[in-house]
Amino acid sequence: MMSAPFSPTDPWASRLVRLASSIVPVDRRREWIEQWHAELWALATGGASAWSQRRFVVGAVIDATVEVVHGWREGWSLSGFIADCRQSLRRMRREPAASITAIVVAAAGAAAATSLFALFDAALLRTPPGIARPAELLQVGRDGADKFDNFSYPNFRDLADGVAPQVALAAYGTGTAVVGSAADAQAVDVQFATGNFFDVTGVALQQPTGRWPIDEHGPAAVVVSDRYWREHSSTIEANGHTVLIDGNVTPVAGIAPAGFAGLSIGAPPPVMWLPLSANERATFVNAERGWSWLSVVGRRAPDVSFEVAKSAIDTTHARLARNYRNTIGETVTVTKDLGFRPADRQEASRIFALLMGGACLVLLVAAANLTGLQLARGMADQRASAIRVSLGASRARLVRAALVDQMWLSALGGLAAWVLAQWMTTAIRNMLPYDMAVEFAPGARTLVFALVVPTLLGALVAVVPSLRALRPDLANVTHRSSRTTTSSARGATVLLVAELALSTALLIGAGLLLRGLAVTARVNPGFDAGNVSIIALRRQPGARPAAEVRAALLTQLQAVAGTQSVGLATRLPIAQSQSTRSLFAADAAYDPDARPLALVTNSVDRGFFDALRIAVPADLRWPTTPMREADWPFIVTTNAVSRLWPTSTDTRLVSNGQVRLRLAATVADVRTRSLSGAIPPAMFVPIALTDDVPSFVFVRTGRAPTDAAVAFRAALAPLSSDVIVRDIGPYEPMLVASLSETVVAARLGVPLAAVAMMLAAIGLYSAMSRRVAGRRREIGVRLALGAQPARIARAEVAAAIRLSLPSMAIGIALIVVASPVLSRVTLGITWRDPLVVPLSAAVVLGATLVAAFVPARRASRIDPLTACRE
Amino acid sequence: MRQQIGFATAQIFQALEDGNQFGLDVMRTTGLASGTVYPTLTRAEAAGLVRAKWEAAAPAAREGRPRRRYYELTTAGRAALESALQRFGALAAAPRRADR
Repeated sequence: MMSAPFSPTDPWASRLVRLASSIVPVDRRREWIEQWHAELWALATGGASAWSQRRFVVGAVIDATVEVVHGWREGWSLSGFIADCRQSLRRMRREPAASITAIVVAAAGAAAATSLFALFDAALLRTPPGIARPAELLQVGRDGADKFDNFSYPNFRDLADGVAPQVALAAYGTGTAVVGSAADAQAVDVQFATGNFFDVTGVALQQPTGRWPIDEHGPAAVVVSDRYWREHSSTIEANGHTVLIDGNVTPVAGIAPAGFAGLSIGAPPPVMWLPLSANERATFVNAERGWSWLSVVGRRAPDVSFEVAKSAIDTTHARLARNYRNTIGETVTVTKDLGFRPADRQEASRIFALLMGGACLVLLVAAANLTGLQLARGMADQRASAIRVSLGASRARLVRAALVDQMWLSALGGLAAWVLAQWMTTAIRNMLPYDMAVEFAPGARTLVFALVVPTLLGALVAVVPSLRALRPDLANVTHRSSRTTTSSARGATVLLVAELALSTALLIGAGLLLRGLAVTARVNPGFDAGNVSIIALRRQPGARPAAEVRAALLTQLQAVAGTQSVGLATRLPIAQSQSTRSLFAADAAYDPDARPLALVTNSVDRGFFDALRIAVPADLRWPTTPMREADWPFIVTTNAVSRLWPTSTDTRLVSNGQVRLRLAATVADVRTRSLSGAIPPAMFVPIALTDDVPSFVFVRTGRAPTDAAVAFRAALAPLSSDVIVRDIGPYEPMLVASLSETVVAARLGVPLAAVAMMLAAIGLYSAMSRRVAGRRREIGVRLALGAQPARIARAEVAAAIRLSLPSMAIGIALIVVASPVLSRVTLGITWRDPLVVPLSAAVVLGATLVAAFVPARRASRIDPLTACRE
Repeated sequence: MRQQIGFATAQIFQALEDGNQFGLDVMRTTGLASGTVYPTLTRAEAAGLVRAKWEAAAPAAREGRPRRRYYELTTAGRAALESALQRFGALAAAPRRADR
């Protein structure tokens, strides 16, 4: 340095010059300092004050910046870039193992994040496809069994008439229909919709025949899904552009646009749309004000704001509530979001936020891994970098070379991630416990995500080691004793600890989810589902009267060997979709202004209680044939009793305004929607009185119902003209599937944790391999001095364990911090659970031992003679 | 292609042409700030308009000061200065609004 003791310059000005010099390229720095020192010296000897000298040095700072910019512009020439590309590709050929590892790490991290992003994008960011001007649409729900309940047709009609023309409301309900004739009949999921459904949603039909929009009460017409059309177009055309639905020849009114699968994302995608009149129970469901089965969607007029539309809906609803408060509820909710109901959207957002957080952790693990690999490469390259610098290579050249090197690996990793993501999205779709009504194959947005993430990741991780390479000191590197090497090794260790810590956290998180599911699966739902099979049915068009069908079902199934009891029901306990009825106590003190109680309602026969072992009085009178009594018998769960009849003297009568019901028995609380959360009050009414053909048959057998399906199917074969068997399976697994939020989190979180653990193990393996490679000479000397190979191997394994122990502690600490958020999805299981943390720690320890085993064995087999000669 | 230079650069080049080879001398002659003079010289050197050379060690040692870096115009730099002077001369000769 040029700060000679005789210098008359201001020390602060000299310091500023030296400071500014730190950004000047290494090859120019010495001369640059010397020049500025000469200038400053001349200024000082001319009598300039200290402040003048300091002002003068501002020029040095600007000059240094110009030097840097000039260096960069020189460094980024196209020919230089091409040269770096060539060198990078040569290097990939020279070091295939390291390159493939880097590509795999980038691909695994990015693919996990990309496929989850595809799901997130499809479920929450994208509007369901096929809808015109989605910003004008809104969803309407009312308070009932939950905050966003459905509407009955009469209530919907009144509401729609009241808000027109500011808002056009349409409604749709889900159901099933039988397509085809008896021999090849098939029950499919359909949506029954109002005549203006496609107008309101702005869905443009393909090949419209003009039969839709139609009067929802007029003759039926059908709109088929694009997929159904592609699979069955020849049959449809052969039948004169008609489909046989529920025994009726129904003209095809059009084909839904490709990708359009209705407005509800979490529901099974409908195969076709039919007018409300096509519902097999249309006369009942479209007339009954208490039968809430329709979701309501609206489109506001172009000149009407959302607030005005909402206000119109609120006002009309309030007016209707004065007359029909027991069926239309007291409040109404209007939302701009489509796809999910507000509560479901909130749940989905929570789960996706958790999963995306997990994906980000995997990305971080991948980034740490890549940085570790780059650092290792940087250390190996220090000698070459030092020589390049001493031969005149600028900083920019070195940074660019490192960036180009990493960009190639990242770009290849990104492409591999894109291919992997295609496969992973299919795997994710199969892992979901329900059908998604939207396609979520990786789209353009996901492709960008797949390419940008690893590239940015690569650029980021390339910067760290390349910045380190900017200050190579030829003397130090050639003598292998530099501080740089030590600090690089320290940096690599920190990264490895971070990787292991994040993987531990992910592993514990996944463990908590699995444990939460396992614990909740043992929750008593209020009935016994063990050894029970479920048979899902759909009534055939033209079937015998319901009472005959019910009797035939019981006869056939009770004859199957091993059957203990058979029960019939219209609804499945523990399912998201339930039917609710609003009831109020109909005793002497009846208050017309009293708020009705919404009860989850199921129509069942007496055998239902036996099949599910729900305790009812032995002398229970449960009708088996339609009765004309004024008061229908019904059963409520305990949690409904005190809410319906606050005092014990009240008569046990309820009413929904049309029918009076008399309490026949009280049963213990039964879970109806989910195995977790609050238990809503429920009631059971005789299926004979509603005169339904059951949608579900519950068969209790003496042993696990694994092979029962074949026997049940055979037993029901003679009833094929009455019912279609949609599905047969054991009941117990379906209960756990009802915890959809946690099931999704666990099914996706566990593979995510596995990927993170794999990446961390790769990182640990690389680090241990580098450690052994770097200490060959030392190990050789120790072996030559008589050290036992086994002891050398043990020392290496111990070093790996020393790394993993603090990592585990950090990982556990992360989980403890995240516990309040996590426990909402893990069904209350926290890090205090006696199994999860110890088991996860054991897995991490196991992975550490596996990753350290090969390098340790390699260390114990080093030949002392060869190593000492190196 | 002949490079066009701005007024401040032309001032600096003219100072060099007048025999001021040391950066501080250029600064004093032109009255420009160090933040203008030195970066301009660095850019001009990179563009091939100015050439820099270190003075011999002996005279600096004799005078007990650090050796200096001297600048001089290259042929391209001279041509650029010539062109700039013509442009600025034409500008000076152009009739002003008040004269018209």
